[in-house]
Amino acid sequence: MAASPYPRGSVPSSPFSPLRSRTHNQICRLQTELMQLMMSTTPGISAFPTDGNLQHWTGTINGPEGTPYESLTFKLSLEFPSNYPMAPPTVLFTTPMFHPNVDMSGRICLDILKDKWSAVYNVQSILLSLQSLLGEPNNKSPLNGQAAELWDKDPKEYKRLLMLRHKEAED
Amino acid sequence: MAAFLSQHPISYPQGRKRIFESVFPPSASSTLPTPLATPTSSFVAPPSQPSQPSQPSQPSQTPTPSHGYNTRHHPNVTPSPAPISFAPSPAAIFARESRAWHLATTYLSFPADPFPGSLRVYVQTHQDPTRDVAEAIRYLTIHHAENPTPETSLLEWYTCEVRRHFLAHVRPEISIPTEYNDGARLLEEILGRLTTAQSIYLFRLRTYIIPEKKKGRARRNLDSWDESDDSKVQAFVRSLNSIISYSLPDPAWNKLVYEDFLELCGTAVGLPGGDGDDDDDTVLDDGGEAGSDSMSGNEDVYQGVRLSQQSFATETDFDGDIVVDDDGVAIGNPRDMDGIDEFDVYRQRAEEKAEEKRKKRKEEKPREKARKKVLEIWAAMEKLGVGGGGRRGERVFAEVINTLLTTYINAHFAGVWETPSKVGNDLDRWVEHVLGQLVLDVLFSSKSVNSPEGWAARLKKLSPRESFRASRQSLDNRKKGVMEVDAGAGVGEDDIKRRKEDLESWKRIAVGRLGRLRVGELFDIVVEWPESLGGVEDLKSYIISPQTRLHLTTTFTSALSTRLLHPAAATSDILRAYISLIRAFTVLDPRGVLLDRVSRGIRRYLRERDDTVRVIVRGIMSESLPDGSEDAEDLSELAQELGKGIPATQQGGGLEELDYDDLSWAPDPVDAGPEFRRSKGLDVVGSLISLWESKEVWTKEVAAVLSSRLLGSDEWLFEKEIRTIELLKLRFGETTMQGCDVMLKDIADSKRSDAHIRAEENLKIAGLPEIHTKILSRLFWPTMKEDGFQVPLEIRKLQECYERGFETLKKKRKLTWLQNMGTVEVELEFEDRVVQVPDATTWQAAVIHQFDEAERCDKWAVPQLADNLEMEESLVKKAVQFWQSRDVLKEIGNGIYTVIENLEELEANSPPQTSVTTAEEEEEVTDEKKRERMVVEQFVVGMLTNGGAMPLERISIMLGLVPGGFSWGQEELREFLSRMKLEGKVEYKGGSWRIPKA
Repeated sequence: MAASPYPRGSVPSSPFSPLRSRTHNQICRLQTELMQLMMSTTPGISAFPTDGNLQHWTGTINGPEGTPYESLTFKLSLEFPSNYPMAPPTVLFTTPMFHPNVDMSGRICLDILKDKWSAVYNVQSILLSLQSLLGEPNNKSPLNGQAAELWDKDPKEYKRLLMLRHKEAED
Repeated sequence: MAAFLSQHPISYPQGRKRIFESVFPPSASSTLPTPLATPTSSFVAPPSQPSQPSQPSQPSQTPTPSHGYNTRHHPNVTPSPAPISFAPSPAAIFARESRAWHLATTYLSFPADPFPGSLRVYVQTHQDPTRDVAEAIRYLTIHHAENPTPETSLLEWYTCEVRRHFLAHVRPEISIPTEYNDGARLLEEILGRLTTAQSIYLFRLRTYIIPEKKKGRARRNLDSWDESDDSKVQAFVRSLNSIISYSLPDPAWNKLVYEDFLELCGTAVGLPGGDGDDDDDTVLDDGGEAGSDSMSGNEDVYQGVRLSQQSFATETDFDGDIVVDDDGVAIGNPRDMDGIDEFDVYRQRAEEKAEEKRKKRKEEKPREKARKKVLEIWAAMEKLGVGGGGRRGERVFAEVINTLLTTYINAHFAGVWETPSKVGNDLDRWVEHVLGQLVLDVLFSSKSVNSPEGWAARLKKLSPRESFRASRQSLDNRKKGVMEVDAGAGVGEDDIKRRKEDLESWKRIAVGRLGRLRVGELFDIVVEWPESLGGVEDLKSYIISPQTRLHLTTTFTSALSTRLLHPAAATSDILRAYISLIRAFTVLDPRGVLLDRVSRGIRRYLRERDDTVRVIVRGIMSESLPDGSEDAEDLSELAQELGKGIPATQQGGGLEELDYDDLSWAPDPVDAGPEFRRSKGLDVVGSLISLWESKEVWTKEVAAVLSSRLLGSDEWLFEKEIRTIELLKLRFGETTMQGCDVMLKDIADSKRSDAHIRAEENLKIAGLPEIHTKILSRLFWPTMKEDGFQVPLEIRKLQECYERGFETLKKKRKLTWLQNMGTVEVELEFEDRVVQVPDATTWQAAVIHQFDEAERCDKWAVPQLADNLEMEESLVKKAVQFWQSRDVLKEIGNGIYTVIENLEELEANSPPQTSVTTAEEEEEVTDEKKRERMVVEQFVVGMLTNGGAMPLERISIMLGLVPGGFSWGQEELREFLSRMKLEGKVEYKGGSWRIPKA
């Protein structure tokens, strides 16, 4: 049951055979990340492959305490490109979001997901960064100008608009 | 049909009739001689008459028998319009003619009953012709000698009569039943009958019909008729032989001859089986005593030939004895006909060969007999025209030789793999001296080779290809003008050359067959390696063409996949086979192309096996494994292989291609695959390591073995391990093996710090046990089980001291005790004995310590112990069982254990002996299971958190992502989820499982 040291032998037997184009290393990496994430159980963040597809994950972030996002839950989708981890995954909020650095369709402006990406980041660190981004938005280069404006000026209005927009996806 | 013909005697041209006859064999009725209408007596007077005067006149005049009785035989004879004047009147001539014809044909026609068993019997029983008849025949033959027509007609009639008789009476006797028991006897019978019939036919032909005209030329033996320059005899024999040949049922006859020859030749060339009493054939002649043996052997050969010659000669002697000759016209001369001169030639030749044959292997009796028999049968077949010269017999014989070659090779060399291989030489010798000799003897036995006539005759016997070659050779010789002088010598030389050529090709074929055999055996050869080196040496001479190499690889690959690469084979067996394969193929093909091709399948398969790495690493590090562990001896050779280091030639990497000074450079072999990796040396370990590209796979396993070795003993010096790790560094590189380096260093450091701390903290306290520690750098060691428990108080105190000492030695670092690792030397004192256990585990020691403790209580139940020690119950159970097996503890009912102070107590109530192993297995299962459950739980939570509610089936499928696969059934999973539900981790709603809302 332990992470098998014999990757080639173990993978083909699962129904989720990796796509042929994916390199062996990438599969290994994503599997290891999943295992790490499952075993570390950092509170407030979680992710799991969608439909058993290792290239597409769904993430869940709980809003950090002391922020307007407290006690809210947000879902994200993570798409891993074929050259991951050389290139960052594409991360989107699937839950409607009101945040200075997130646009109306869920796109995120975060440096480590763009030019500051490095192969040492992983799903866990991405999710943690996003969680902290909720509490500390970068208001200097907003995607959502209204939110950036309200963040400092009118927290109440901010919260109202946020709650208006936030509609937790029902299962 | 005859009636029809007789009505239109003239209108049928001869050509058409012949065609007609060839389709419809003349029936008995049509060839009946003239009815006895003409009074025979009237013929008595005239016979003397035609002998002298009418000689010149008669030839031009052919009697024109217009009657039905002989129409068939004189259809071409047109009435001659010009009777000769001084001859008797045409009517008289005609009457005489017809009377003579009638007498002759009556006498010459064969009775309807079958022939007797042999010519001898026939000759004895058959009536000599009366004077009338003799005269009549003479009249019809000699009398008309100048004019071929009547004679031809009588000969033709005789030919037809023979054909009719043969078809009607002989043919039924030579039919081959579909099932027979004794093929040899059957064949002999058939040949006997045919020979008898043929000799009887010939006997009559020669005695009566064909007169011997040129007496100057010595007549040969009857069996040399095809050399006879008498074209008529030849024509007759040809016609007879063709009838014989066609009346032999085709597949059945060939099969019969084939089977018989196969057996006989098999015995003759020394195949076991058949007669089964000949295994000693590999004994070679050596020296004097054996010399006489071989001489007598030669005599035997020679005798055999003589017998075969005589079998006919004796009969022809009869032929000679009863020549009808009243006026000096000898039809046959017994002296001439017994074939003595030819026989002498043969004898001469045989003596010439004696020298060569002396070197031949010893022939044993049954072989000799079989050989004789073959020659006999062959001679008979030759005579009957079904022998050699491109005819059926030769083809069958070729098949026999073909089969023999294969059978011989299979029988003698299968499984014989000694080295250095003598098989090739043995085979060559056998082909040259035994098989080749037999073939030569059979194919050329009946002909004298050295006489020019014999040469010509042999040319006739050769197959078209051979005769072409032979004639070309003689043409060449003539061009050179050398051989003209002595044709005989030229022939002899050619003969030798030809023989050599044939021998070479036979040898080539034999080597090919041997190669095929070896290819078939290759799997066993590989498995038996290195005892089977000889087999590989044999193969080397076979794999010289791309076809044979391809044959080898495909055959071997399929053998591999059917015999080895299946789940029933143990991984260590497969690996051992692979190692042997590498070694064998390196010898077979040093360039490595074949190895590259055949090993792909096995490598692919090995990669799929889960325990390949473990087995290989354990083999490589077998020196570090405790003795007696099951893997230790399995592949310990790998450790030696590793010790050899990397073959120097491989270290150059790709640079060797650029080495312009390498004079032995050669391009890659043509049949090398596109991914062919050039490997010059034998590197077993390298091949195994390259199974996986990732090195981590190996280092992990190496670290595991190393850690168990380092921790499992109380030594401090691990030279072997250091050496192994250093060798592995050569393969994997410094950085990859860093972890192992650290492990080794930890142990070395521990030794120093242990001594230091013990000195500093004064740990040598009388009455307390000594304590030594190994301090591990957690990050670099494989994960350890951390099943902690309460160690006895004294030990705890010692540990605390030790900790203090360590913390002063290494600032800011803390010790975490792995209580369950390590060994304890236990000494237990009982009333009647002392039990010493030098290498008990810590938990075993802790458990037994409980029974001693302050004499407070010496009866414990497992749960109590577990509580007291804060140890897992399963571990306690294992410990108790261990002490039970040492006769230290016993169960006194209700799961309560106590100490056995006196062994006599044990005798009293023998405790139930539960085996330790089962408990251990259980333990392992639960351990593993626990871990598995935890992983599954995390996965389920992660999945449901992110994916939302899911039904059971979907969860089950998604759990396939768990590394290492997910093998639970749905029931097991449902149960598991229910338990999670009880713990409040999930909830079940609307057929789906989900995470409860906070």
